[in-house]
Amino acid sequence: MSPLPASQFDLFVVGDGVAAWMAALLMKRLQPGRAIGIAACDAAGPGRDDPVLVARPGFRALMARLGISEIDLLEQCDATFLLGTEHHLGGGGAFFQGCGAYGAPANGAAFHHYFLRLRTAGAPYPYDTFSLGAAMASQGKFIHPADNPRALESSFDYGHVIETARFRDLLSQTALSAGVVRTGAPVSEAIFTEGRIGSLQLEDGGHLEAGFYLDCSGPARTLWPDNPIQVLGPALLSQTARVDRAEQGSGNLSRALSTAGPSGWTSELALQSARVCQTFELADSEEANAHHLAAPWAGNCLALGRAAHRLSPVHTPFLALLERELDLLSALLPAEPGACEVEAREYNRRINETYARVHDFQTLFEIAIATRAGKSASAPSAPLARKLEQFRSRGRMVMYDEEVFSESEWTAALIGLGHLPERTSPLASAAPIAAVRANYEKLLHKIGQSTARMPDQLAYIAHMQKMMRESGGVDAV
Amino acid sequence: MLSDQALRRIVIVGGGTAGWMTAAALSRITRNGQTDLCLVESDQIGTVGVGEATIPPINGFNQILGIDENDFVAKTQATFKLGIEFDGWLRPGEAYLHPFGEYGLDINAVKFYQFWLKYAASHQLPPLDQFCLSAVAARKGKFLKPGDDPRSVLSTLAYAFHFDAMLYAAYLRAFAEARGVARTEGKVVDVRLRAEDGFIESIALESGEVIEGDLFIDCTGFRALLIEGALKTGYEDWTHWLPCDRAVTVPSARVTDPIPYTRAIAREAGWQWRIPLQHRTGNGHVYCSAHMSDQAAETVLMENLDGLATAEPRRLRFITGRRKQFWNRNCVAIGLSAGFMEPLESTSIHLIQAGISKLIALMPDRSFDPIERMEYNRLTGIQFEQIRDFLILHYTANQREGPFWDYVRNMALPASLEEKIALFRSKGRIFRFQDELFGEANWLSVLLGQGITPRTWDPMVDTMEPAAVLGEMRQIYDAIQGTAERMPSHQAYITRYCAAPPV
Ligand SMILES: Cc1cc2nc3c(=O)[nH]c(=O)nc-3n(C[C@H](O)[C@H](O)[C@H](O)COP(=O)(O)OP(=O)(O)OC[C@H]3O[C@@H](n4cnc5c(N)ncnc54)[C@H](O)[C@@H]3O)c2cc1C
Repeated sequence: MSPLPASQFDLFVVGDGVAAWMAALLMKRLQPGRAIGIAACDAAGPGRDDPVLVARPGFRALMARLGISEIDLLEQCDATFLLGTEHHLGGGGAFFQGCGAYGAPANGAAFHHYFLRLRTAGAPYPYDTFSLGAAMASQGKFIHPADNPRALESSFDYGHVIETARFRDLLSQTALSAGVVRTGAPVSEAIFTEGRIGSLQLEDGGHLEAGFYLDCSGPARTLWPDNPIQVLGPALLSQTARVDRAEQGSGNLSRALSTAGPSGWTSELALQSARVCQTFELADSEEANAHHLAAPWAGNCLALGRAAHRLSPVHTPFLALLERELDLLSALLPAEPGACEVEAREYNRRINETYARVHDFQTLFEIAIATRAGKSASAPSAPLARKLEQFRSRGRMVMYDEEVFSESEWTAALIGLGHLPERTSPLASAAPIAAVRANYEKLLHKIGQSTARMPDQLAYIAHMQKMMRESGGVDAV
Repeated sequence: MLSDQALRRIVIVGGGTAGWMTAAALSRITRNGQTDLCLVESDQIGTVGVGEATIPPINGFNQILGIDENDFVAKTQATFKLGIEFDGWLRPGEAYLHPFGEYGLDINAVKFYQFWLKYAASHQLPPLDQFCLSAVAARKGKFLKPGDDPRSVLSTLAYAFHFDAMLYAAYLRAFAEARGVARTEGKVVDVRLRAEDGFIESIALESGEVIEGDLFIDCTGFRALLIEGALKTGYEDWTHWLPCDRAVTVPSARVTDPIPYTRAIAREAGWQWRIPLQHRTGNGHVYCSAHMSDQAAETVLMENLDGLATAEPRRLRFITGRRKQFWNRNCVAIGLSAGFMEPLESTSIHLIQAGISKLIALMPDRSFDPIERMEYNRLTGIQFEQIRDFLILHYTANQREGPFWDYVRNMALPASLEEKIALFRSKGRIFRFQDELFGEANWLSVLLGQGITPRTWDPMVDTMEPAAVLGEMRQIYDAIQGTAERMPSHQAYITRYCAAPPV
């Protein structure tokens, strides 16, 4: 490949936030030989990024591809391990939503069928007592999951809470040292020829050209401001959240807290050094629609992150979506930017479905909040309605392609929010209730024993760091 | 949690493979003392008597039922199946295998075949299927059950069975009867509908006996006595995409040790199957009546047997397509009554199994909430269409001569298949939809086998050091070849563990 002139790139990223830098770094890692440039754009204005980001379990694989280790996240981004969210609904109701297993299936029926049988028979256990991840989270414990699939300690999974600003810095340093080129002047707009971006106009009057463009400029959508959007439905919670930071004491690092208030929602996420509280109010105007671009990939331009979607802040889905966007992009990476209509169609089909499924999960919670506040909630989409209906009638969980939230989270959320099935699977009625009870009480006992043996998360992190320093290696956990 | 609305009686009409599979599976959930399960069949009508090759998910069915594999293999004259050989589908004289199981191992999260796409030509690599244990073992006539250890190459093997269809139905019948399913012999002559809602109220037998029920399962085969005969549900015809509409079948004598795979050999206006069993070979010729007469088709079959025919050939007719609703009112069609696609990928018995497990998940009570029916129809419809697309793929890219092959090469494809092929052609990408029966490895074998090749490979392959990658590929190759070499022969495995009594 012959070197390109300074103003020409194979791929150019516009933006200066987490999405932009992560995309630039990933593209450089995947195709080290290509010229990848990045520039901010003034139009984006001050970032309205969340102060902290929530990563889901799949994020670890992405970090590995980026060449960023877990220790880097812990040491440089104040990150913690996150086992799930404890939801407090008011009036004493609470439940835990984690990605790991709850109970264990038997005779071809999912655990929640047995849970419902136990409940009907008067057994006093909440659903999440059967989850090791929930027990660990409630006590602030952490270890890495076991490799052996038969061990109880392999039954949970984890994500991270990460400080946004520091994470962005880590990404940009890593990207620049990997060879991503930052150009000086900000981008002011894209110049189109025949439905494709021909070049970028810079604030200083200069131009630059690339084969392919990533628009990571946030809601400004600098490259393609009038690219049509598709509305998903009203986003009940306002984006302008109140943020409070408090020193981290010796608090619980392993869980997020979500507490429903009279007219909104408070979330509390733990970094190692601070706790970050955000309060979201129910929006009053219909103007706050959740939406995404109808075609995030159009021609030779792909919008990522907040340039592509605006969803409700419930569950802080930004990073989970970015992970999906980048996974899909790398699976469909254009080798020749000229001919990628098939790839673009496939990308748009799948990512739009992803946005819609995440919106469904958020709607579930927004309906609960709105109902408490005595407001009318938006009607669920047809796929969500089907899911609710199937679960209510028989405890059957319908899962679609492109779901971000796992089946166990959906189940925990539905049960936790009071959508209890009217019937259970006939497969779960084979064993006598006494045997079912004895079996699952044994599991509870094991969960108790296992959790008691585990260290607090802060102690665990300190231990990891010590091991790291002693071995000098990266994968010494 | 049993509701007071629980079904009082489920009536299965038909005692072929579909009827007895359904009875055997439902007997697991009707032992609650509330629901009574009965099956009606007519010896006078008999069963279709074909359907002898299966695909790996059948192992899940056997496990759920608690069937002992060796006992089942011995009693149904079964053999093991590691894949299907497609002979002459691209061009006469060339064959490829659709093996069960994966190709190689991913390297740095990139699919193995992507490396193969890049290096095959430049480094004269062996064919892709030499990196798949099921394929290598199949060609060598070997068999061993896959291992549990995910680190061992043996865990990448997947298998299914070939069995005698009549013996299989008999086996399941014994299983179901032992678990309380009541069988009634008799021909159904009338189906009575409830005046108020058109639900099936009862069936009447030739003997005059009337059997009432809450839920009726139509397993009457192509006759579709309840779902179509009584309920007039309607049928969607897919003959324009899969034009074969006839078959002629004949068993032949065993001549050699059975091979562990099915053969599908392209013919002038269709194709011929050869299914090796312990005691005989099952043969059939599937063809398109618009391009070949019944007599000519029979001649093609009889001239291409590897042993002497042991019975008279039988002729069958079918219309490829699906019932417009698989579940209509209180009647669920399972088996040939639900729809039919030619047995190119042995999918019919799987569709029976999939129908049963969906029915169990959506088992109605007497209130018959429409959401159960709608969900069943939605999911089953998706599954039929996905299989349909995979079957069409075998025909569309052929380089054979003759009007039949010209037609299937030039016909318009379903949009869903067009898109899949376009994605593959571009960079060898294959995306599986959730719950799709055929996954990446299955599509890959047929796409490549039919000569559909990607223009280029995943660009990530270029970022990896060739020498290291080639070294890793070599190791995988050696492990697979070595493992296959050490496996016992298919016949030796059968003789040791599951030989059928001599006939
Ligand atoms: C040529 C061909 C090849 C095939 N190959 C394969 C294959 O390799 N792999 C695969 O998976 N599938 C294959 N199939 C499909 C497979 O044979 C069927 O899916 C399977 O046998 C199930 O058939 P069935 O039970 O629905 O129908 P049938 O076997 O036809 O059974 C119908 C039952 O209904 C009863 N019945 C009908 N009318 C009445 C009445 N009035 N009163 C009482 N009883 C009645 C009959 O007596 C019989 O018991 C093939 C099909 C064909 C046509």
